Amino acid sequence: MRLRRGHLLILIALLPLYFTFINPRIPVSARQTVLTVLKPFLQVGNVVSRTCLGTRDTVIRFWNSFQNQTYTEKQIAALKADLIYYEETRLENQRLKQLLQFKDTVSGKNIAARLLGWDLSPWRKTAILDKGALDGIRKDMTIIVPEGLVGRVIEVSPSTARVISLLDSESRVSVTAATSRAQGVISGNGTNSLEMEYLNLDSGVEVGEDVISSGTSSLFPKGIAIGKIVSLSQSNDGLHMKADVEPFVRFSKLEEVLCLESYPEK
Amino acid sequence: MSRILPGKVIVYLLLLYVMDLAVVSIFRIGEIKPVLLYMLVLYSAFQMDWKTLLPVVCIAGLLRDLISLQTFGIETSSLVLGTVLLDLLVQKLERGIWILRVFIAFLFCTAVLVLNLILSNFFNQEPGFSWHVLLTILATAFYTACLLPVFFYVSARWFGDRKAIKQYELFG
Repeated sequence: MRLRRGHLLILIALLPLYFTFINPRIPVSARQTVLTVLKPFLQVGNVVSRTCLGTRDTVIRFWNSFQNQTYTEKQIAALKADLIYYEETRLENQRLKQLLQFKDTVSGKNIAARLLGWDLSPWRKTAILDKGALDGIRKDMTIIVPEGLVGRVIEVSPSTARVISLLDSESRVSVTAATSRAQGVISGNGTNSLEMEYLNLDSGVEVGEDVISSGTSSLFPKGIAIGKIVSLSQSNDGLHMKADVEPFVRFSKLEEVLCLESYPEK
Repeated sequence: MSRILPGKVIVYLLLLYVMDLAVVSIFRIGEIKPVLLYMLVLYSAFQMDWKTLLPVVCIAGLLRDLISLQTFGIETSSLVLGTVLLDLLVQKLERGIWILRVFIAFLFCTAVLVLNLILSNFFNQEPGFSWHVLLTILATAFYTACLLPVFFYVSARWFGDRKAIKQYELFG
């Protein structure tokens, strides 16, 4: 049985081999006919194939997305951080440009400095600058921004300086009402507003007037804008008038300042 | 096995033929894809009697020849010669061991493809002998052999061969 089977197999193997060697010319039309017959089946097969490939690709894409989710989230967080940084830089650039333009209008020696921070004490309004004696900062230098007077330097270390702002309760500045020329002294009270004291009863000062430095104390140059009078009242002793002044400088948003040695007096 | 209708085999053979042409590319790894008709020949050798095996081999070879651009008969010749080797191995070796089945499948596929290559080159046709072609042959044979257990399981379901399914499950 096995012998017959083996013989048969070899015979069957030799038969197509023989045909191959005599190289029968199979007409092209025969192949075309086969393909024509097969075409609908191949089309169905192709649809199945494409559907399977599409599904496979979808699964792969889904899996890749799933795998990349953590990475993408990290990337989004990093980009958000970058965005915040760029926005900060843009705003800083805007402020510095403004300061630079202002600096050009100010004659004499002046030094731009950055505010590092405010005093930790809640009732003191002193600030720390990033420039010190090594940068040319000296005690009693006037600190200004484009909006107006900020304060003066009270302490200098080699690389930092401490500034007392107008808002500090120990700050005193001789001032003049811009229109009525009424003289007075402005002081801080620890809040975000200023108090103008020692105004003569007949000074003719009015609400809405601008207040500028008078220059009489020699600590501050004359003519630096300080604020606007928002209300007037009599002092407790009844001998003087006092005014509440809203400062032009927004102290809570201060970031860069200019330290002056001299200021063109108005 | 006697319950299997020849019609069922023919339909399965034609289905695999169409799948070989149009569907099997979804299992492609690089340029390598399995050959389903070779798997059917292997299934016939392992699970059916040789009287079924012979027509399966001849029809599979002829169908491949009909669509091939090679000299007519090369596919059939190489497939039948490979089947002679396969039959010898199946008779000599323990056919129930799966690792042996896979190994035999690898040898059979390699033999058929190498014979195909030799005959093609004998008639001065492409692709010629090169390392790339030989590696492709080995990779195709390996891939086809690796998919054999799955094919056996599916085929056993198709033919309602419970014994084969149980055997597959034992080794699966």
